[in-house]
Amino acid sequence: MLSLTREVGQQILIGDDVVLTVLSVSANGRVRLGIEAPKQVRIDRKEVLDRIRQSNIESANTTGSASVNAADWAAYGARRANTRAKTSEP
Amino acid sequence: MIELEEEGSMLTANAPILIAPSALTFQRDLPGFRGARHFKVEPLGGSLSGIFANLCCTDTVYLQDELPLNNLVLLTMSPGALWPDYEVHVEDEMVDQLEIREPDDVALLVIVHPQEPLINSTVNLYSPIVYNRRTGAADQLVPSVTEEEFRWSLRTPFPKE
Repeated sequence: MLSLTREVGQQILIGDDVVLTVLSVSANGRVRLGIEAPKQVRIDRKEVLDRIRQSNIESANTTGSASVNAADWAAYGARRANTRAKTSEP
Repeated sequence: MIELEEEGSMLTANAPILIAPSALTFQRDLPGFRGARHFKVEPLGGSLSGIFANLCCTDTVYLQDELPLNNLVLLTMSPGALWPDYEVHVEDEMVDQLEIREPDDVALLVIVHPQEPLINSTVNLYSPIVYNRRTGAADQLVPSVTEEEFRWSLRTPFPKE
């Protein structure tokens, strides 16, 4: 991993058109970064994307093992219809 | 009815619509699955017609550890069908990328984590799939805010009995 030391206000250029700017560093260690990049460049918080990735994989793994059978659908539909009827009563 | 309101620099999308069969092209790989860009949306029938759909990948897909994955299928649902107040903020970049021109263009799908029986399933309301119904352009929303709660129970919308 490339390690660079930068001060507040200094910038890093990645490729031709991505610019990182160190905006501030707080006493508790939080660093605020400004990022300028073309619209087609995705910028995501890594831990958020990792969590979505993991969730997607788990959901795909279980699809197929859970039998979404006709009886399930019928019971679910009946319960929803029942709920709607109850909530629409005066 | 879909609402797409301007709120600062973002749009608010809420699409309580029935799912129609369609083909989606993701702007990048679906997170977690390398190569997964083209999907068919196949609504499930029965008493809940149009609320749930299988999202079936038509590409060769690899998991992150390089294992090929055959028949990637995700169970999804239209969030507005169960949660009429559900809405997400779609940033300008995504509106541009998906070429969303008018409110009716937008539709949402949320990924279900299926359990047996179905009512015990949970749903990822945090990062829905946003797609353009006119063009099929799609992407999974990666919100800029972190939430502790990630999956919601299908039981959530039911009033206490």
